[in-house]
Amino acid sequence: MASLYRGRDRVQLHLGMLPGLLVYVLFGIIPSVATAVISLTNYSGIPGLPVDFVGFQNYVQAFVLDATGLLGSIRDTLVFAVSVTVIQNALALALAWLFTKRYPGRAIFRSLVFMPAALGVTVIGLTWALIFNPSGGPAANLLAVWGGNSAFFGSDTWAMPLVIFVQIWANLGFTTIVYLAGMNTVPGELYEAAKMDGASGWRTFRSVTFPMIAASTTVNVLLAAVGSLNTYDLIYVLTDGLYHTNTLGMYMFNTAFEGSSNLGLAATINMVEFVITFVVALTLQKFLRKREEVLG
Amino acid sequence: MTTSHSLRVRQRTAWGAFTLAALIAVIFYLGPMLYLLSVALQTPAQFLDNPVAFPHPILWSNFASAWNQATMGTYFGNSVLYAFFSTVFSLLFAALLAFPVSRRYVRGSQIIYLFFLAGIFLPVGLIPLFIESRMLGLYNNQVGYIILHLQYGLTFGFFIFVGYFRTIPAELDESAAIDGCGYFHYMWSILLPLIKPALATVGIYVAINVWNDLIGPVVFLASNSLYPLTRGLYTFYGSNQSDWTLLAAGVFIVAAPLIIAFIALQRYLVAGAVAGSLKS
Repeated sequence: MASLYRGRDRVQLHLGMLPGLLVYVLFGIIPSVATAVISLTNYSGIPGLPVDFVGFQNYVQAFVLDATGLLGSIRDTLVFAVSVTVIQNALALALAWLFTKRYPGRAIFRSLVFMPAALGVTVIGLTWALIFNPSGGPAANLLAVWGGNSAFFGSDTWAMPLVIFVQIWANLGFTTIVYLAGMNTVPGELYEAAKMDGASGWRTFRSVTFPMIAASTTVNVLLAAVGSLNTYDLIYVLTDGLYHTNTLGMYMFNTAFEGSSNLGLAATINMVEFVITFVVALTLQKFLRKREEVLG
Repeated sequence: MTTSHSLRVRQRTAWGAFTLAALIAVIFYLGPMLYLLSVALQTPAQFLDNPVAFPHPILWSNFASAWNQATMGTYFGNSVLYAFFSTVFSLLFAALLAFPVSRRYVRGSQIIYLFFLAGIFLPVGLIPLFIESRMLGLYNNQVGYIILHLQYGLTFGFFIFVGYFRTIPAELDESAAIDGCGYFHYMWSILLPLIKPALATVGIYVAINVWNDLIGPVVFLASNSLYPLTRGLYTFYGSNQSDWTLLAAGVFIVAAPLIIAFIALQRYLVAGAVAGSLKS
């Protein structure tokens, strides 16, 4: 087969592959691997300063000198990621199930829930900041009915739950669509059989639908877990990591690009984030694939 | 596939499901957008008094003020430039790489495929990327910003296109070659039109992602005149934090084309979401 393209065509075939490979190596592979190298230097965001290898100095800084900050950040990350993964998947399952029913306006409702996929973090973040405006707005008014008030995104108690809420709000449609795609492949005969046996709606969901969409569950749980462990753009808009929402991604970003701009230390924090993500993803993958095999 | 009996049962309208889905979709998803529009049409006086009420009087000029004060025309132009060129080039590069790999026309095709597959598990190295952008002169300029955004569409496109090219019979390559059709010409005038559905799905997904990127412009751009809409709006927010009627108008200006694009291109986004999830 390889002889199909000869001479000039063969050159073109190879030439065409070059830009793609170059982009992938330069902006995919190298940066990904280089984080480990940068974490061993005193790289600063300020141009012109000398760069030296400093061994594990940044790791000592992160784990010993800044231990409170790092531990707090790890705690924030886990609270955020676990809550988002669990709640988002539970809600999306329920919603996908609702969308398999027949009723008027089904397609429109589905579209509305999926719409944030196109809106982006800036629009989403600022819209919710407007709704949770502490000095008057729907949320403040609602809270005032019970005689309460809150700084919302500026509150130590409420910032994290609200950030989790907005993150789920933004991605619920995506997760729902993936579950829905899975549910649509379940053969109708299985529902027939369940109906014949007089199974209730909940029973049918538990014994037919949920086991049959195990592959969708694997994908959704993995994507939500890895995504929420690494995301910080929405948090950046909503709280900038303040009020106990300083996830590792946010911590890394602010260490690198705000204030003292310490890239070496930021790379170290990034390494911690990578390791946690890697361990979580591997464990989840193992567990979920095994579950698929048992159910399949 | 289904009996007429069950068809009747399943077609019975599920009003309970309707009520629940309607409540969630309307209150939590339509509601915020309507509130945003409502505030965008209010006077500052009304917003301070009762922002939840219907705008009275309706103040259309907020939109013009926000557009002018935030210099959104410039940002809008930049967003179009960045999204368009990074999408077009990343898809082109992806197709030129995916075709020989998909057909195994070059030695090491299998290795290239595995090389890309391994990349899915590699984390994004934002900090080295920032350092690289400075070393390679890609920092704070438009061409650089586009180049730095090629990676996403390249990997996503690569996987989708490798699969898609397999559905095109290899006999077509042979007959084109026999007819003396050069490779680049064959790619441009025959192959790319044949994979149009895949190009559309990946392209729209990539374009919207580049368009909405906020971290990218914060890290890789420093000059106000180079900002895309996302960072422009965010900067505007930073300097007008209390002026919510103006801000809401600004947010709505940015949101409106995205909502329209979403309505028009929704099926591609759904296809992209499902394809993207299957990739992993």
